[in-house]
Amino acid sequence: MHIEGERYINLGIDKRVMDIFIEKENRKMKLKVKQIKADELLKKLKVNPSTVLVVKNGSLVTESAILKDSDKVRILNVVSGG
Amino acid sequence: MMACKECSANPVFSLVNRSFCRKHYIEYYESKVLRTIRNYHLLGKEENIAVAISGGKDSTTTLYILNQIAKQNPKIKIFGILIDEGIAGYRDKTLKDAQKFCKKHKIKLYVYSFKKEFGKTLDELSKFGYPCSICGVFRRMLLNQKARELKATKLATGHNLDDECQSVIMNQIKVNWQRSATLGPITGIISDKKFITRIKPLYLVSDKETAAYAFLMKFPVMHTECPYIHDSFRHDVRNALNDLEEKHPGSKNGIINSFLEILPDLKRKYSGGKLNYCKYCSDPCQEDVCKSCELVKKYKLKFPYCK
Repeated sequence: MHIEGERYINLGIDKRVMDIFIEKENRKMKLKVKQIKADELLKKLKVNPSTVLVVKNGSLVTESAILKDSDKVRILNVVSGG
Repeated sequence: MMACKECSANPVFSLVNRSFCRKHYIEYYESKVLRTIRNYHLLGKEENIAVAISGGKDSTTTLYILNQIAKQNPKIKIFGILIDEGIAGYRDKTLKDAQKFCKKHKIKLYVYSFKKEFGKTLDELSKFGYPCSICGVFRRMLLNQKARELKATKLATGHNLDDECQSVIMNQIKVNWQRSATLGPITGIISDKKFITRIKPLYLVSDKETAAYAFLMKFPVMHTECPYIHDSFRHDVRNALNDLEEKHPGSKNGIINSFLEILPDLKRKYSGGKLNYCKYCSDPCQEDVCKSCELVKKYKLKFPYCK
């Protein structure tokens, strides 16, 4: 299911929606979840934690941070080289 | 959630067995870089350091930390060199970030482009061959020549633990110990006045540690990667190492610490090699013609140094 052209993931946990932006892929997602730990979110998205930073509402957080449905989450790629 | 080890505040970054708040993470990161500079004697008492910058997180952080040192020591001077390879949608953006950063911190920035030096951008050159090989050869050569012209005593780069780990493994796979001998926090096995010694202040910090530092310091850097990286051998090695690190934390540190143990022996073994001078540009090289002049001739490019 898509919402306004953005990818939608249903984890089957709750009806609420969390905004997620994955910078590497320049992709916005909406996640149907009440709350989730950052490392669990990365696992769901199949993202290796050593390759990204998780930013919650503009602040850097660790992988053990709890992300809630009202949060705006950005996943920043740590590899900039080339 | 593990609180900051030092002050119990909310953590922003975690290592295997400790977490840090913003203030203590910045302290931890800077002291790790300063320790690398001190332990490996990267800076002498009097220096004119050229910092190779791209506008990415690593080189911007290197420039910032060296600038902080230069501010406290009038005998240490720094300036930036940026090579614009001509990668549309990538380098044009990071170039603006670098210019903005240097302007803010009052650092002199010299910009050189493939287009002006060779007559073609990397996007155009990529039609001839493998872009990462072409870029690596030309960028390395231009940085050395321009740093030398600008009378730099050393050339600092933003290479970090991840970059070095990848290079070590790539050289192992290709059975190229001689190339590994040129790695390390301070490079070079044969001294020649035409070679500018390279230093890597971020040698012991990872991509992730530097990305976190750059984010917390609000540096104007993009968290995107070069569009050509996906075609490279390095990209595959990097993914394999990241998978290994995730399953076995500390693997990258282990690879580098093992490598640092054998590095003095490698440098000794390969330090007696004979150095030639390129018949076209007279830069030191291992063959009769250096790699960059070889490419200039092969692709019929213009280059003022290549007579």
